Amino acid sequence: MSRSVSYEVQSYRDGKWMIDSVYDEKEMAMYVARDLLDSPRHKMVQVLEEAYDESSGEFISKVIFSRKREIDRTSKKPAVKKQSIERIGKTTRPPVEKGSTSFVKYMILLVVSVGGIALTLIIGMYILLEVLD
Amino acid sequence: MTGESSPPSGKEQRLVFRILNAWRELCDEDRFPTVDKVGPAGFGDDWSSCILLGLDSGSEDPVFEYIGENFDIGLQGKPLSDAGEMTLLGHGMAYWKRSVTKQAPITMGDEFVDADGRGVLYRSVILPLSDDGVKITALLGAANFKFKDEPAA
Repeated sequence: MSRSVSYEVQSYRDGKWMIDSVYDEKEMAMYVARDLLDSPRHKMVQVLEEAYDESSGEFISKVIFSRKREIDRTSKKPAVKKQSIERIGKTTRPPVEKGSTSFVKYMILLVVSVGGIALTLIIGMYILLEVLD
Repeated sequence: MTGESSPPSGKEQRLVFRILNAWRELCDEDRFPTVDKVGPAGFGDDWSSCILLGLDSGSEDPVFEYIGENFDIGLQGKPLSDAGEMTLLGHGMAYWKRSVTKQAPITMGDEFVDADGRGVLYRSVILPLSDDGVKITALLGAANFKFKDEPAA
């Protein structure tokens, strides 16, 4: 029974698995897969073992390696920076503050409206008194 | 081959990985490099172990557009089939269709007996190139070898 085996390194990009490269040696494929994980372009990689059985004409595929990139492995600083940005964002712009901004706007609008109506009434009364005189 | 599977220290020792790394750099954000990006500037000394196969005609037999001096074979402008079965290029580039089908670099190693009856161990790599980022218009190939009775370097 003749059986040929190849190893496909795949990278998960744009929502799908894409073939990165193909090898006839498992060690080479594993080496490349691990190497790809050091690049921020590759968030997840896997190695597929593809065996072709010439007597039956069948392909048998199985995942022999699958790993996600560890964000902290490449650079800790950006991760920390991102967290502090998020923390600042939460403290300076909480939902309560957003609500109070709306309340202030509402109060200003109310004062302006009431003031406008009152001013109109005063002018109206003044004109009426002038006419009656 | 001896030392092919062990991770390198410092400069990459294996030709196929040096070529693969250079190819990745030429890709930049694209899936494949364009043909005009490929040249001695990107591959340095390894360029003499490279070949370019043109697929523009879409035929079943790609044409040698460039052959590195290490191959010492006058096949420029000739089809791949002219390399014959007893040569490094004939064997090393025989699986070019798989690279086109998979749309990915492929590396293989094997052995054959050359025209002088010597056993040859080789490893080759074939990498796709594209002018529009979709259709494979050419292939970059590279290969190195040693005779079977030659001691490991």
